[in-house]
Amino acid sequence: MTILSGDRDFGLQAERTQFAWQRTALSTLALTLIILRTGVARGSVWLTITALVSVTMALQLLFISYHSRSDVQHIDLAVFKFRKAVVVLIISLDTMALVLSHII
Amino acid sequence: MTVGITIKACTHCSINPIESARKIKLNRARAETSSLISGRARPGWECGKLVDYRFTLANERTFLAWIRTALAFMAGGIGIDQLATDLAPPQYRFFLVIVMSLTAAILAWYGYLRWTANENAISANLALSHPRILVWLSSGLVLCILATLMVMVAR
Repeated sequence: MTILSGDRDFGLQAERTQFAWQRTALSTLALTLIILRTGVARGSVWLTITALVSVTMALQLLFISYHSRSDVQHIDLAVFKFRKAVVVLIISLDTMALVLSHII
Repeated sequence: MTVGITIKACTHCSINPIESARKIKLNRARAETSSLISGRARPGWECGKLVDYRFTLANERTFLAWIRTALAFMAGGIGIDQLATDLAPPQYRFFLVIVMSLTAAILAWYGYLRWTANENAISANLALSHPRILVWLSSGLVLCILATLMVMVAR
């Protein structure tokens, strides 16, 4: 049986993408936890609240990443877009909170 | 050996897979005349277009690479804020923290916009645009590193 290059590569690209999502979700969770610690240590209420929201969203991101890992052959691109919006929102919220905690 | 992959279309345009092939030309023409020209790019899969999933996933990983770059900037900002208290005078440290944090936010949004534009270009079979932000990113990094070195040596 001859295996074409497209067939041989099937699944691996999806798997690589899932691993990339997991790496990103884990990094995001780690950073949000550090920001949470910063907010608690500094006694900044807004930074702590923003970090708590971000940690919740990062956990959701991590859950989705691991959940869709077992189903790499059925890609739901709508989930991809939702995850993108979540991760961009987390970074924006945290960076803005960090900047404002210095300015205010 | 044939292996299939299921790509779900969005709920706004639940196109029958049999009909989708017939509508590719129409969707492509619409994308070229409206979304791309007006700059309001929408991913091709939202319109039920058939896009090679390998390109879509490669675009996905490129977006994630931008996001991880943004996360690295954010980590740098937090690190300078929390760990490097003796690095430089407080005013310069605050400046670095704010610049790195804002860069992280800008990079995250740029990654999202670029993913959308690339997805649309792939759908329409057009050339991908060059990321011009790289010049500013590299220049800013070089300037910040040199300035930080000068401040550290001067102390």
